[in-house]
Amino acid sequence: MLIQVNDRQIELPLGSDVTAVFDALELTPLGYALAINGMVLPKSEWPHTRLSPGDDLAVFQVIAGG
Amino acid sequence: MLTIGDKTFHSRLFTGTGKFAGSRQMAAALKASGSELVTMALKRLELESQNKHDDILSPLLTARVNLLPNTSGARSAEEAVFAARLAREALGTHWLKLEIHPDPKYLMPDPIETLKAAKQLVQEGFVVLPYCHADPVLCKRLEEVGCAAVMPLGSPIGSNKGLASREFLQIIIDQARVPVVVDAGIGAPSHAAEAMELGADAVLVNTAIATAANPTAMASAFKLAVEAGRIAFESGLATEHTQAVASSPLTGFLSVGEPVL
Repeated sequence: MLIQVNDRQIELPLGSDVTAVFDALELTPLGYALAINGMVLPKSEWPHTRLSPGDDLAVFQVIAGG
Repeated sequence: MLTIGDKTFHSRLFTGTGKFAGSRQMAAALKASGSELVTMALKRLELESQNKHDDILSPLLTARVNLLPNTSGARSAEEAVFAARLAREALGTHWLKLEIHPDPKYLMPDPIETLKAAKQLVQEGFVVLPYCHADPVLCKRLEEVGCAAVMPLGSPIGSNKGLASREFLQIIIDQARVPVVVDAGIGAPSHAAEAMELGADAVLVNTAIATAANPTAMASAFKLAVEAGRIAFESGLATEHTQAVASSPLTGFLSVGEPVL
């Protein structure tokens, strides 16, 4: 299935959970947060949340700032 | 010792992590500063961009400092609340520097949106430290809705102009029942000392340290200035006078009698 992640579309197996996105992007999920279809998803729910085709994920990263 | 919300701090110098040349330089400077609370920002991940951000989180976790994510980039209360919820998940902290500045030229904080967001975020369990103008009325309103501290500006972010708002900061400090952290515009250690002498509970410094020719040495200078300013405040500063007040007894010995040759 195709999932929109920020400015890219990625292909994931049907039934994948949110952690699969980080595996696909080769990212360690330390310092990241995400929203699915505009709703912030608590990190504790990532392994239990199955993605659906066409889901729109917004992934955010901690960066330096004042 | 300074207490804000559920945490106590030995250091009254809070620091930002922006504008450093790299994460190693940042880590060295923050260590020299003695800071126990450091700010960070959040950005939408650019998967197609070649501009990868340094891993700044690992050295901060190693240093075991407290993290204070900000909502920089938010232009409204709604966006700030969204950013706050993301930050809580990204860093596992309910502490938040609330900042809403829609105007890119002066980065003036929007008081109406800030108050609105602060009220909601406090209700959601965040420890809210709002960046705001040096407006005594607004600071009282932010305190009343449950903010853990207020962070009025000295002058515009990154301007290094010091305490342009000095008279209003004094009123805020006199009235506040929550800690006052002077944020933004502190460009030199003397500015930090001045804020502490006024009775500020802490200062937040980023640009002046990060853009110094030697950030680590400058961080040390700020550490000393904040400590000096705090000790001066606690020691009771001498009062100002319009006229001279002699420090030595005026004996008038030059006008009495003739000099002995």
